[in-house]
Amino acid sequence: MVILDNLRFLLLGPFPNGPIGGLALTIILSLLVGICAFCYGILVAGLALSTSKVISGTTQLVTTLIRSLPSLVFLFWLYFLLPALLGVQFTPLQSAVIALSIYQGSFIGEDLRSGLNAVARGQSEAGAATGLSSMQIFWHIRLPQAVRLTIPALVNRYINLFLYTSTASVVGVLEFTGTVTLVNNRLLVHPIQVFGFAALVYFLFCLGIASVGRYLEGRWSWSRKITRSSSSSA
Amino acid sequence: MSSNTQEHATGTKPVIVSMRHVNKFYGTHQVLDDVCLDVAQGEVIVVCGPSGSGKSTCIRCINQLEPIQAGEIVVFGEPVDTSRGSLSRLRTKVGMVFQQFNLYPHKTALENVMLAPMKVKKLSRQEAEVIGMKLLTRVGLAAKAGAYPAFLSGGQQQRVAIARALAMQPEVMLFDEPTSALDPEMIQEVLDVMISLAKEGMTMVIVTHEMNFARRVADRVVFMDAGKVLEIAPPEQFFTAPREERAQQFLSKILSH
Repeated sequence: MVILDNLRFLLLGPFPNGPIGGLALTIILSLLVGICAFCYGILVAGLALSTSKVISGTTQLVTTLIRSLPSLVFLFWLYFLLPALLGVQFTPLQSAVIALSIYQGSFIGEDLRSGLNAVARGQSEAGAATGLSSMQIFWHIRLPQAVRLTIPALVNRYINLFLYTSTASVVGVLEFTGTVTLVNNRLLVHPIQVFGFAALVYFLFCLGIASVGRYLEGRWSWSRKITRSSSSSA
Repeated sequence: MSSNTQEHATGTKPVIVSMRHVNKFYGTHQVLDDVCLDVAQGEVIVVCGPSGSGKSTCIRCINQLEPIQAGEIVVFGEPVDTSRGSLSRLRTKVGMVFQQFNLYPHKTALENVMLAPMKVKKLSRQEAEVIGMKLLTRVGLAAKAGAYPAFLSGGQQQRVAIARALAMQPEVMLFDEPTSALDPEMIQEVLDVMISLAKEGMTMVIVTHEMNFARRVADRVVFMDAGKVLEIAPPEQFFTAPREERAQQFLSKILSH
């Protein structure tokens, strides 16, 4: 079967005869970007809710600008334009990680901001009344609750993040979509099998992300779960 | 300010909370109108009045959850200002219990009580846990230390909230309608904790509609209406022969059921 013949290349890229690629690189990239984007999102959400109009205004402006670009354009900008402007050249992989982290992080930040707004004001007051500083209230009281409230939106984001690691292939990063396209260009006559396999793999991973999201929602619900009593009388 | 509405604290205890000519506005609407109140150490003050009278706003100004536009609030001899350092110091000495409990839903009862001592007083986890368990035992909820607020009844949640406020070892406790959100059967368990606190000499300012409780525990009753303090009197006097007409109207309505 044509997929099995090329399986090693599809899953691992040129490794061990070259840098790691294929599905393995997609997973590594997604994990890296997932963590960095989340940290960036927390930063953005925190700054956007600052009492200083200057800080919150600037953050909102930057976030809006980034979100109004297609992620591919932002990636191109970082990879091609930034060297011309600042004289600093990132490798394709570095560009991909940085660009995708900032891009996805901007969306995650907005999701978290809406989650933070949804946390009851009484929570901050209770924290303030016991002497906690604003930073402590943000980190220990509001952010955990905001994340919990935002999980459905974050699942959306992370599915999107995983799928859009494929844009990295356009600047030469040989992740899964990159290897799939290469294999298809070489074989030419089996596009259905090759791209069908790609679609199946992406689908399975996204299913996994959604399942993790549902599990976390259940685990962090902090509210009474309605259970069927085994000894209930009808 | 007419002299018959202000009754000063008797005894030689020092005044630890003093509100002097406090005025507060929400936009153009005046919520507090020339409020003057002195609270001596160990005193239990009950603030009552119709809704919208500014009683909750009044006590929320004491720990600066609400800013004031004019006048002065002096706590432990320090005027309350909004600089971060002094605000934090103030709030470790003034504890507050809210009508809606405001427990942190993502933390257990014990963790709720432990959070401020660990983060503000920088205590270790073990030290905070010892304090936490002691206070939960005191409010009768040692068995529920590991429970999340969602699994506690309203009365239990409020008692945990009291323990949480006590964890910082405050010298003044503010109560903003602590039993107004509770089912009737649970009100007494919370009032019992408050009565035991009062007996131990805690200085308390309580906004409440529980008039029997006020009769038993209050040293003085403050009656507010439309942002003004209309009458301050000891409970025996206030409940039997209130001087102000508005106070008489209020009592006749509230004591009839």
